[in-house]
Amino acid sequence: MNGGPLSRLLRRVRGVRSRDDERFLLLHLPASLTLLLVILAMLGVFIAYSIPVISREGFHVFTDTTWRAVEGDPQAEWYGLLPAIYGSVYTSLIAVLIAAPLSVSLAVALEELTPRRLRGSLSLLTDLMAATPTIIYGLWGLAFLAPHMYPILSWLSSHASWIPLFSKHPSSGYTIATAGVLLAVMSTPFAAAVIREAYSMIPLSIREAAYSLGATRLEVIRILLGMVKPSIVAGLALAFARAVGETVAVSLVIGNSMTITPSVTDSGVTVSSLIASQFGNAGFYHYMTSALFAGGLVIFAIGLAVNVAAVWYMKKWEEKVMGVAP
Amino acid sequence: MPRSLRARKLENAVGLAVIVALAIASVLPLIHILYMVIVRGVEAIARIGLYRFLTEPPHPFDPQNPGGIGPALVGSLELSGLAIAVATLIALPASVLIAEFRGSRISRGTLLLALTLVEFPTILVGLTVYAVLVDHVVGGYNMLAGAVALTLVILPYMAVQASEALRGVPEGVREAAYSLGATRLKTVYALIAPAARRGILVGILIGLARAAGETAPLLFTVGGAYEGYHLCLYKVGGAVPLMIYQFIQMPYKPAQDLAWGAALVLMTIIVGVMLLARLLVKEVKIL
Repeated sequence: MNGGPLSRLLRRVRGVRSRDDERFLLLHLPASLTLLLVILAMLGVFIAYSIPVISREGFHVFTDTTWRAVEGDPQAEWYGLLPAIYGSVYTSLIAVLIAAPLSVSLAVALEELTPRRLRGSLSLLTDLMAATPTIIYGLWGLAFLAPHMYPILSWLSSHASWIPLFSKHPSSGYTIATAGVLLAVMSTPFAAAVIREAYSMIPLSIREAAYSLGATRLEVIRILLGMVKPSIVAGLALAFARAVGETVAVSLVIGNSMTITPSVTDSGVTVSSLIASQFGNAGFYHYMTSALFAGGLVIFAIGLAVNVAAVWYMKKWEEKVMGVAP
Repeated sequence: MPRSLRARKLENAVGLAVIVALAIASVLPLIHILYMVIVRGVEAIARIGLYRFLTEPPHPFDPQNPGGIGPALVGSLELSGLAIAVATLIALPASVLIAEFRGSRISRGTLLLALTLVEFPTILVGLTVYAVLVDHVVGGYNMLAGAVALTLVILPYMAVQASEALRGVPEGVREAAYSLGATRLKTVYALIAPAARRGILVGILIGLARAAGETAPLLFTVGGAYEGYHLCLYKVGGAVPLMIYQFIQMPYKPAQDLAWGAALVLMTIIVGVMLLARLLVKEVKIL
């Protein structure tokens, strides 16, 4: 091993100084490669499975609104994912808009305003909120949230229908608004956790300086929140990505109808809820499975872009605040 | 002109009140969810008794004898047990690599990969495993595909969590081991990893909670069969979260009751695991 090309390659890794280190690194490389392989396999599968529908419809599969499944006649089939892509982005945006004030308040309340004695049990509650399976949220959305959103949305649509958001009278509680609210509830603890972590890293001296200048508590909170702004952005971005990928809870409350509407009181569909509801039948058609994988490719792209950006952004900020050079 | 002290004090009071109100509003749903799951779950389980509910197969169309969630529960145990075992075996070396070669490109690359995968939509993992194992290797829904999908879902989280636990071990431990002539392998696995065991164990526990509760990775992999006990890895099977998802959408009261009872069992497992994790460390990192 010594002096060979492999050894020279391994020696270039920082922290590898001896043959013992080389062996150690070599032994641990497969685990790291597994992670790389998983991402590549996912990308490969989604591209390979999307090819049939893309080669038939071209990019219309992403921009068309028609969803036509015809059994036994592949030539008549046509799949447009735009309503689902629109629904994914729309519901996730609603979720982030609602989750933003909630998660910032939750983070500040836990870090700043909760008495020390209560902090433990309260943070256990938020941990539990993040650990609660999405299917449980879905169950609650289906049995409680949707039926209780219905009268509110009906009232809004009959009294404020001049606002495009409420232009359609809801036919049930299973609407875009319900999905947005449910997603907001689900993603708040995650965004709050990101914000909290950054907030707790701010040096005590800054807080002391602000108080010594006579700042009120709220003013101190404002100053500190200004400092963790990047973490708020990153936390909400992660919440958005999470909402885009959320499947079972959304598919139980959104109503699953392929429409594009600005009205949140109407039912809709998201890419993942479309996959969840259609995948079981997709085998009966020639191109539907491929179309659903093409939808997966869209969430893949959104998820990857948002995640990488958020993680990178946070790391940069952490390095700046903590004064650690990369 | 500086604002008066009274105006600032008023603003302070109102601002803090709004923050507290919003914070309370954000945790209220969970409290209501817990309440609803307990009330409806207890109602469903009491009808047949806890033991029979946990062991019998379901009869979703029979109001007289709705049965229980036995096969789904056993399926969930099988899937999460396998997923945890395999994920630990891969996550631990990956985390060692991240923590031991800190600052190197390979460590940062691995960490970035893991962090990206942690937040990846789990439905995509399910679809990928479907394409490989269900569509190509086995040729039908199977438990193995479900176990693999769950493994891939929890693996990145466990790697990140363990690497953070390893990072917290003081450098002195390593220096002492090296000075005694220990190899790096021995130093890490006999001294550093045991010193970080609490953090690593918490990662495994949270991984377990996730594996037990995930639905989306199982949608296109295990199939969903609940009449009898299906333990064969190459055949269809079921799991508790998937059963909840499928049964709550059935227009039959007994099926929906079974879903609520199953939800209570699932929540009990999650809360138990979370409490256990909390006993081990003060701060549990979910992300």
